Amino acid sequence: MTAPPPPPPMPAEPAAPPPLEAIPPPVANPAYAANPTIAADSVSKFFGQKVAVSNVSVSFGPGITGLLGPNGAGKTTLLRVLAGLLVPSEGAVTVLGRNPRRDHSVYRDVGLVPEESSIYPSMTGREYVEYAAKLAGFSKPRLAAINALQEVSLEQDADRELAGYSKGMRQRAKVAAALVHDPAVLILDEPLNGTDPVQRVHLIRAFKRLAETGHTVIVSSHVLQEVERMATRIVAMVDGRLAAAGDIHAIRSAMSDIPYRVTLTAEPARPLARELMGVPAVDGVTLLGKGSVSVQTNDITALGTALPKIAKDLGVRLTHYSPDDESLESVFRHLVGKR
Amino acid sequence: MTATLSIVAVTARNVLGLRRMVGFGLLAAFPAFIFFLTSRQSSDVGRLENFTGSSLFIFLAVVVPIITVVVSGSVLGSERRGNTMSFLMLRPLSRYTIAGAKLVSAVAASFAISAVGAVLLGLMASISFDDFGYLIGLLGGTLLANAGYAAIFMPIGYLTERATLTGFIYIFVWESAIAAIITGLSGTSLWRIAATGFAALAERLDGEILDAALGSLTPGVGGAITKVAVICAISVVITAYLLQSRDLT
Repeated sequence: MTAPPPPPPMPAEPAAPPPLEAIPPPVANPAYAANPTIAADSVSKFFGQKVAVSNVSVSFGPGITGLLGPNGAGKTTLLRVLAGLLVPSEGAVTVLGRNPRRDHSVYRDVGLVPEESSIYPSMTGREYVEYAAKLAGFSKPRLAAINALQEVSLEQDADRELAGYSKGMRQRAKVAAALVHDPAVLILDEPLNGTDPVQRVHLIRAFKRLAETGHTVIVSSHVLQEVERMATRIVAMVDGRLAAAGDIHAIRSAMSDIPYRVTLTAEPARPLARELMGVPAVDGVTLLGKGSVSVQTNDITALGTALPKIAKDLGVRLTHYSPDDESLESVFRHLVGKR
Repeated sequence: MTATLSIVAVTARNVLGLRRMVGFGLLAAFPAFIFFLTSRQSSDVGRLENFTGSSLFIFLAVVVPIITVVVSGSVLGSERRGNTMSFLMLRPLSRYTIAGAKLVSAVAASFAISAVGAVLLGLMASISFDDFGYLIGLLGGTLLANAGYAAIFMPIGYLTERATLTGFIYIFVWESAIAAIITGLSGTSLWRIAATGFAALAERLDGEILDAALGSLTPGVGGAITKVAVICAISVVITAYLLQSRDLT
């Protein structure tokens, strides 16, 4: 795998964000970031009788924060409330000291990659990102679009119609459109969905670069390992509530005694399953057929370290590795119970 | 201004697909074709009756409203259903700017198609009656009708997927039946408002047919422009309010 060339610096316009309004963080509460740029205060969101988000108080600051939780946990709803696309039923949201529902100028400093496919299929990648730059008020939208497309390694396909893009390429186009105006706050809802391993590496590298330059990056995911690769802080949600928050290692430690299950696909699967039985971190192995193996572990990190080595030693080809969603949900439920 | 023009250009491109252009272009040309067929062997008076009673009526009361309802219903509706609304809403633009740009898009796109029919019918009538007021009047009347219908059906398209059905009920039940029978309601008919502008510009029309069609309305360009402008202003305010207050799920 070759490293992509370093991207050119993003254009300086529009103007830098205004000074942040002080949001006093209760230091003892890990749900609050030290230097918050975006904050939710007792936010709830109801859709009829359904409670999507329940009394969540959390803030995010510079760096990458992973918003983690199983499907249906309320991550997307919380992100859409934070971005101002949904009106909170209760509570308030502040982005860079402003209410995004009232002050739309805040969108000069905010970018969102929604989960849904928010693209215009008949546009080319370049036109799509250029459109975003024009709407952000750039005087040279083409240049900004080229820079953003380079940031996500999509410049080679920039003149192809979005309709012909793969899901991963569409995700990258959405990311380029979200960061074309160099926002101080970037909100990403499952940005790695549909991307292949190489694309993931490129995107994660781009998010890390933004974090290193003081941007606030919020990445939602239901896959812990995915978030671990980029985030330093984690906020976990279950059933619309905050389940856990804090440094990734603290969360990891809180999860250490919880049985965890992953499904992997390998060719051939049987020798790998046999070998995994001897790994101390593995509590149980079940052959599921068609090369799939379900592994129950008490230490997901140790398993993640041991697995590639075992596969290499046995000459086994690993084609798929993912934590079971139900398992992740049970982990979070455990954390909720601990609070 | 760049942002507004960009929204107009992108929206017009999205709502004016090739198939829609061709289909609506043929529909727009249909009244001119009717006039061509009916006027070939008619006297001057007969041609005037045919023009006022059938071609003009079909064009302004049926063709232009259908085109505009379909196009304007999709300028925001297609963004909402295509999940691109969040793309638009997450930009540093006031909701009035977005609503205004979308209305301009709806009017421009529907006029681009309707104008084909207006030019054809207007030219044929102008040559036939030796008065270019028909061409100017038809273009003006078409633009007014486009603006009026777009102003009503753009926000409806944002609220419901059934904007086109709602529009057809308005055109064929309310305007064509109820407002035609109860003359006091003719002021609620958008094509009749547009027709008052046309009638003021085209001097020779069949007065009897025109009076029956317009009901309580009287010809006048200024009045028609004012009414449509007010409808458009209200539409922008309502659409901006909807964009501001409703959840984007």
